[in-house]
Amino acid sequence: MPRPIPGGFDETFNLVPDGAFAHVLPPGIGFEMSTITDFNGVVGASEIRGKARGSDGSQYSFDTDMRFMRGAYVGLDGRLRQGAFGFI
Amino acid sequence: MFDPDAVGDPTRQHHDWEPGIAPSGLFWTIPVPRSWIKVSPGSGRARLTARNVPVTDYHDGISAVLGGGPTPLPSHVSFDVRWAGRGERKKIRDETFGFTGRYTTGEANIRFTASDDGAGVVYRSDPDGQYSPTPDQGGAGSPAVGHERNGVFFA
Repeated sequence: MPRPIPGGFDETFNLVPDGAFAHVLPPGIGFEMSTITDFNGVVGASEIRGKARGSDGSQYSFDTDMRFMRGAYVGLDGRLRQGAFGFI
Repeated sequence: MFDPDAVGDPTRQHHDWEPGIAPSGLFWTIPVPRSWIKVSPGSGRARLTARNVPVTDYHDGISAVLGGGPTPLPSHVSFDVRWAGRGERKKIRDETFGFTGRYTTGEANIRFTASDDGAGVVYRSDPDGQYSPTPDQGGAGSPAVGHERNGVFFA
């Protein structure tokens, strides 16, 4: 398995380059989109908002953060590997 | 999933489906078959599709990250995310966060269904009216597809 990026949100939800509490940055242009460190590959990231319905007639608003990463990475075991990952 | 027009208010959130945080800290990220991903990095077009993926409903984002919320429920989701590309091409190098990449922006949309196992209710996205919120709207900004390097590959 890969290692998480060192950056992300700290415990007060500020963005920090290392020592993060939550190892993830926003899924928009300008931010590191990968959640995997020691990574070299293709990525896609998106935040999407919209409406949704339940089959029981309920109505909601949704906010998704969906990403993918595919390429080379250094795993927890220190070995160079190839893999594909989804952020759901 | 929030009450209508209440996105971002955890007191009005009812479902939050995630694969969980690994003991390593790897955040909501799971290995997937390569076939789930179709991508053309140069154009910025891409697609991420999957059916019936086991996840957990943590009820709300705060509970998903900090714990302590309602009992997490086993669930399944299916989704089809499409990045349209054809937007701006950007080269970014961030010495602070230690990554670099070439990206193409563009709109993105999603079709999904989600359901808590045994609950008998299926939640389905509406294809109309979707948008990616700008930072001024409290969002992440434009979706993008590209090639990114970090960690030992950042030089």
